[in-house]
Amino acid sequence: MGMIVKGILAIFWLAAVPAFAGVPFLGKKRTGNIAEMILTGYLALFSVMEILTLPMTWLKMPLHVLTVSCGIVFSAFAVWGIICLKKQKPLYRLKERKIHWNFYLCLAVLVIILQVVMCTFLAHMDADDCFYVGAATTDVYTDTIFEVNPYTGREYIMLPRRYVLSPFPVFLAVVSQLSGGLHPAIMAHVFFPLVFLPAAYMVQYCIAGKWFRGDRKARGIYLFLAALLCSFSGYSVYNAGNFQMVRIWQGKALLAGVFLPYLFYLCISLLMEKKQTCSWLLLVMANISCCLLSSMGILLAPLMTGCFLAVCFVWRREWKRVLKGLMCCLPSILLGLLYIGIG
Amino acid sequence: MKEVIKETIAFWNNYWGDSFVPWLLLAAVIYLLVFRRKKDITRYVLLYLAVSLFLFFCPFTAKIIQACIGETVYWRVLWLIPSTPVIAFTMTEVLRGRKKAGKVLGLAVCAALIILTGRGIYQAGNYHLVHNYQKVPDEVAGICEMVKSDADGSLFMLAADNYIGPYVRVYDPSIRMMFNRENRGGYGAGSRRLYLEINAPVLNYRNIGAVGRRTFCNYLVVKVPNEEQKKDLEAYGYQEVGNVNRYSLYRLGDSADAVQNPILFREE
Repeated sequence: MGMIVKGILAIFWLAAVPAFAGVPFLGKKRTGNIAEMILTGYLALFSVMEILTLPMTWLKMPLHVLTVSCGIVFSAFAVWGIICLKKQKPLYRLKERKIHWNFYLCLAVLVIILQVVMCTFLAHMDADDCFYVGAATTDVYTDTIFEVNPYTGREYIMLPRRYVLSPFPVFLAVVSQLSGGLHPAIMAHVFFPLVFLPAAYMVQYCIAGKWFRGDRKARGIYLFLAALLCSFSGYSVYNAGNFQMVRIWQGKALLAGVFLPYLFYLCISLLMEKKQTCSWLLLVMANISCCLLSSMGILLAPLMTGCFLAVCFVWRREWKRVLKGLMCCLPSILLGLLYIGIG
Repeated sequence: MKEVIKETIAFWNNYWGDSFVPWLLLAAVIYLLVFRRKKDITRYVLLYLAVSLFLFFCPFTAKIIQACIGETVYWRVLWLIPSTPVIAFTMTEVLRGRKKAGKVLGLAVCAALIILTGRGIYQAGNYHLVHNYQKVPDEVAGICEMVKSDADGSLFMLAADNYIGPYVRVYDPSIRMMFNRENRGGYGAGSRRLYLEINAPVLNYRNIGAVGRRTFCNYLVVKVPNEEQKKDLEAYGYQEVGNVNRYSLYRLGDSADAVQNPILFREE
């Protein structure tokens, strides 16, 4: 299959499918903009990925079984999303999703495009790739899930305890296979930045929408400043902006740059505002998604939610919300205990 | 406890490097506290910031978290601090409500502040141009293509230094490695010795050849040797296959399967 066809398939699985798959989870009352659709879609897909991958890893099933299963579930979610969209009134659909352009938003988009071009066309050498991308290339080559050591190509004597609960490299392997067998390194280094870097700013756009409701210019200014802060985050290799800018294809970078900020947004929506604007299910899915991305996500996601629950308790004094929030962290807590147990 | 506090402060300093971004964050917090303290957003954002900073700096919570995630990566807890949203929000609040000219001028000042307090990602030397779609160093792509064509379908083991090694299996997962970066995946004392020799600050090609042959390593990737060093490698049965930029590929024996590696033999 030609490179162009594989590229189109990659965009289909990484952008179109999540966009439609997110619609059913946005709630009945509201439709959300395209940014929310894609981000919610990723929460759904990543949660499914985590739920399917963990048992299949323990059962030592071949990668192609997981690829077919994920392909079917992802497609089913996307079809469900299209059906949900069709049920909405056409005028409402257009109005809700329209992005209102202004000078500041254009400026922000220009900075983001420059970042995407740099990340997509140039290369950043990161030795951590020997595991994070190596695991995906190895799984594809051997048609296994975490059975072969990506460092050497020899079979694992026992499962890699640090990584097995956060199988993001397996997601890379699966979408590569779904994209007509595109090389996982190309998928990671070219297509992931193309999709996930804009996703990071979609999160910032959502936060701006919350903080500057009704002020489109302020939203544009906020997004421009956020993009600039990330562009100038080369002062250390530890900060979240740097991770986002130089290795967005690795699970931990995606956690730092996209999913922790999105969890921040969801916590504000669910715990801080008088009127809740999204479903609790999203918080559960966000916690599970963070677990898929990195073992650090297993701990950081409930920690962030916990901080917000503490603020909610002190500020709002609403027991019900705090209890519901705690319940949403249960999957992470469970995986956390398992992580500490097997580690 | 003092140790934990010292470590935590060191993590904080490393996280921000030599930038003035934490001061920018502090200025943002002070502005919000003074001028926007009655806003709901300010209240919950600052409360959250306080709780997350407490969590990071408090030695008791730090100790517990470090026990769970490991001491060396404790700095990742700082990812919970929403520095980008807080700084961007405050600057937007400052600019909001101003007239058009003031807004544009103010935005230019804010942008200049961000540029001066931080450091450009490109400027920090993070990105390079390479000539392969996989985006691995060009030497790696060249070496992988060369070794695959030379081996002609035979199973073999390859050893390379910390620059080449990490990307070999990213480019081509069919290549088996003796070890990867920092000797990860390496098995036994021989493999460790080869790793140390091939990554030594001053390469001793005689030692590399000797350990390579002893561990039945079919291919070696080494920095291009001079004539004398070539003879050192040849003395142990290694033959030059070719060069790619700064690196040379050497094969043990006349063909890839001339010497059978026992690890591969056992697996077969």
